Amino acid sequence: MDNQTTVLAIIGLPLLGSFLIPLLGWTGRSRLTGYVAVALIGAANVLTWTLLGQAQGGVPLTWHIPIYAPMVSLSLTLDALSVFMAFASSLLATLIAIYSLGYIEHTEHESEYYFIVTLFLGAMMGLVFSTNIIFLYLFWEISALACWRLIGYFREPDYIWKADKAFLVTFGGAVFMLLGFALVYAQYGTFEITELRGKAIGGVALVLIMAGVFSKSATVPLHTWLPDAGVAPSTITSLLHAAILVKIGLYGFARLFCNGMVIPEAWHKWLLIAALASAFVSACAALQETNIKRLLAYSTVSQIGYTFLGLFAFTRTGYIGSLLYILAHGIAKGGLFLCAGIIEHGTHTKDMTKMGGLFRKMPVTASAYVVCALSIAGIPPMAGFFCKWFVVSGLVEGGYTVIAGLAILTAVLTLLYMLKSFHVVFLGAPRGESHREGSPVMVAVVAVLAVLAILVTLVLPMPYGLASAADSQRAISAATALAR
Amino acid sequence: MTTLLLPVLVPLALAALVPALRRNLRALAAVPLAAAVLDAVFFFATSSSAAISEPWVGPFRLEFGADPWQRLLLGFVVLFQVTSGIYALRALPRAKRPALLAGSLLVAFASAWGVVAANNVLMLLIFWEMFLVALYGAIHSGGEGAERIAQKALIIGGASDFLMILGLVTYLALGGNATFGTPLAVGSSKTALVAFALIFLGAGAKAGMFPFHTWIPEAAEVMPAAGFAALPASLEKVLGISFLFTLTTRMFVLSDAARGVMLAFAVVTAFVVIAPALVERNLKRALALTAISPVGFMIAGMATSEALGIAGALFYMLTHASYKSGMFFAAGAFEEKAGSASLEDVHGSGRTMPALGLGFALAFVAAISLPPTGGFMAKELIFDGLLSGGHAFVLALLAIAAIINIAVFCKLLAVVLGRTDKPASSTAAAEWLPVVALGIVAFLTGLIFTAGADAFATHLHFENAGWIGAAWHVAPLTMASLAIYLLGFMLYLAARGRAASAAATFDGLRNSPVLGAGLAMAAEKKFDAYEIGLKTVEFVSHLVFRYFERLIDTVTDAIIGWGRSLSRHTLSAIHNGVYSNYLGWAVIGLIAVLTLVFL
Repeated sequence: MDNQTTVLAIIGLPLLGSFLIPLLGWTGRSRLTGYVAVALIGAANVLTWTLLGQAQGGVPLTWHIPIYAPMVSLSLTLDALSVFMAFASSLLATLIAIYSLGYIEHTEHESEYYFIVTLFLGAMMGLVFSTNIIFLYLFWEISALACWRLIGYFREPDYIWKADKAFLVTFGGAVFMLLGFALVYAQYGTFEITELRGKAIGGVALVLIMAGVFSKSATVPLHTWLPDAGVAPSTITSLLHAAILVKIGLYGFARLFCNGMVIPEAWHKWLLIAALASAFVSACAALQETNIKRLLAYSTVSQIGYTFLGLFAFTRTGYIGSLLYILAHGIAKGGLFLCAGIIEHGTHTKDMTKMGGLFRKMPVTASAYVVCALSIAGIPPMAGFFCKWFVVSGLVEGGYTVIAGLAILTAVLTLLYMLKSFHVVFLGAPRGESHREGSPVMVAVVAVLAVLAILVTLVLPMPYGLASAADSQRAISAATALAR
Repeated sequence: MTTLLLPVLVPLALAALVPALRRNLRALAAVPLAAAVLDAVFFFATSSSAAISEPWVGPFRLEFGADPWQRLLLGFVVLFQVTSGIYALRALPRAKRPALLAGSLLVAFASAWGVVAANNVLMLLIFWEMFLVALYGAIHSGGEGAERIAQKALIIGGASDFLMILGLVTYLALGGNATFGTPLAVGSSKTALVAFALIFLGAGAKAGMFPFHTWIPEAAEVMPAAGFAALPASLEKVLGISFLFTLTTRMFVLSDAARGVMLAFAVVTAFVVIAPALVERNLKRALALTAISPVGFMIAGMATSEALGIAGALFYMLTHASYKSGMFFAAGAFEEKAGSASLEDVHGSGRTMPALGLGFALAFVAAISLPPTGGFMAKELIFDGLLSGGHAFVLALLAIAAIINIAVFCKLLAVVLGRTDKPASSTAAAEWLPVVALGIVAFLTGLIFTAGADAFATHLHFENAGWIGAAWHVAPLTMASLAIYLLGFMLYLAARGRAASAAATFDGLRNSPVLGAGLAMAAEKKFDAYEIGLKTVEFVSHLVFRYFERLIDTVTDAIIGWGRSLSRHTLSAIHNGVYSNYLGWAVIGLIAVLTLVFL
């Protein structure tokens, strides 16, 4: 299979294959739907493995498939950034889909669940390989629709309201983003990101596009939909936080601005302040929160702020740190949400004040939780440490030492709320009803994620090499654009 | 193939076996000793030319070595591993969470070796953090009562390490070398001073420096003695102070401002818990409190930038770690027999368990720095360094701290060896052997250091070794040291004369107007930087959450609610069940599609 076919298969298998799932449901084979979803998502992940060598060692490849030429064509790029994101997202989504086999069985609308989850991943794959703004937007919105349906999965009125909220905030942001894209088109006459490389973007267009980016990545003040989305099944919140949704905004920024248009330097400082404020405010909120899924959601907002700090530093080290953090955070946060799912299953509550002493009843979940929590907190040898190191280094290299200092303060807050949650939930005297460990498949998946949180450190040269290649390709592209 | 990193890998591999052995306590208890013995074998198999230098990830290079200085430190690390391993044979099965204690000890063994062998400051940092995680686990092994203190230790350690990370990032950005190349002048810029201060705080926190010390006495009370003696009392001190040595000699050239900062922290650290130590009624807590003051002496020695002071600090570090871990092992055994570690309950334990009493007494000699111990040499050299550097005032303050410390140790010895009518108790070899061994090592440290003075001076790049041996010569400073011992004994005797029992010595201080009030406030943790920090964070986060984050949510909900209600009315008007309306929409849609296709 050549590279172009592989990329099309990575997008097409989950995106188009997802439509098989409701057919299976309608024909009374709901039990099979989960396995089909795992197979489709897993296949996409396996295919990304075959692209790792090309992404790391070769030059970026771009294909244009005309749709409404010359304005719109399906442009696909195979470079280190796209493969890195596709690999990380599909790996986590595969694990989450496997976990779902134990978590979602016996619930109603099982086939709908797997259909939307697979579609969600397909949209993500489409988004990461697209370098035409219109297609990027299209996949962006498919993910928003999937997210809306999944958050309201349990169909209770309050849940539907929260799903609507998530959709309206992200959709509203995306509408502003679309206006920004229109301004860019008006200025440069193209939707191709490769052609926009090195072109300076105006302040208004930047603000409009960032509204879309920040709303998707749940950045303060457009973040409150994410903690509310905790009403969704834990597998979904895990997908939203770890593998797909919030990473879309980060990826969008990296693709549009780190590998594409140029942001005037005067804006760098303001972007950094926005990211830092987001990281700090949500860390404070996490410290106050007693609902375990909301706490983890605030933690995501905070860590996304951290990841943005690396991107906004516009330095090599910061960029590498951010990309690595997308992977490390995805693994650890995926693990934490899936642990929260096991806890919720066992205790029938999300209120941490009604939990306690769960370590004895759920030793594997507790161990996985503490490993993932320490990774998020940036304690070595867990992978989160290295990412935070590179982000802070990137900030200092960029001359933003004070911002780096404040980012470190936020990291201390992260350690505080992560440890607090572990102690309240798993240690101390048992509270509430009797509990038990999750099903074998669920426990196995959280154990795998915890092991991965450590293992990533051992194989760090591999993702680091890919992230470095992404940065080198970005630098070469920028230099080429400048020469043009 | 070098054996250099086997002492890291083997304990980690054995740690992976711990869950499988958790129900077989006898086998579990043997695992730390097995790791320690293997590490000792690897230690002797590793030559001083062994080195690893491989690229890994960016500035994180796999660089390790075992030069003679590192070998000396590794030798002590192995000593503490073996003694802890022996002690654990009996103590581990009695711990509340034995598997956790065993795992933590193994990770601590691995990471301590990694820290000492690392020739790259970032590798050192990684192993250091692993050590912190091991410490967290070891404190946890003390049971439910220890959980809060484990959290405190991890947060203090983690927060100080984040400061160090920022310092290291800045240090590298300023042109510093992760592999200890040319030192950076602290005086070269304000940023360099900030970088130095941040790293200093991180390293000092590891050693138990003020204001990061407050978890230590609390941990001593709840942590199994096997864990406390191996980690905070010995390995952690060695790692913290040896990194301070690296910081002040291989990473930075100190400026007057940097020295001033270090000396200020040194003096405060030497005094900060001296009064609580005098009145403490729990043996383990008292020993932990007396572990903090010496850190001040060591930092002061480093701050002099004089060979004398630096050598003194390093000698003191090794001596202190030896005697303090021995004392903790003894205290753990006393506590087990007496049922508690209160001074009243352990009174006379050294007589009922004579081997432990002997080990404790030998450690006492080193603790109060009498000749021929390394403590004597160390203090002489530190005082000499302070005088040479023109810091006579600091010397005077430290001398006062030394006098009070001697008084505290006299009280503890009087309690441990006090007359008692309790019957003699049998003591397992696994209990007394580490205490006696460490007591002998602590007692002989002065002779060991003198014998190795030449090698020590050469490898630390000091000009010659003559001045090390000169610590034994009778000089005016020696007379001052003798005066310190005398005053310390007199202080103790004076207080003892007024007290009902040895354990109650200095209790009268609780009734003194200023000191008594201060002690009461300290007991309520009014001066605890951690508690103050937590309250501040709680207050700020509450404000931010309640009045900013929640406000955003309210506004967002209001906007969405308004939009939803508006769209509901519009959609109701459109979606009204009248067939012609739907037909109209379909036609409009068709026109739109055709327009797109044909235009």
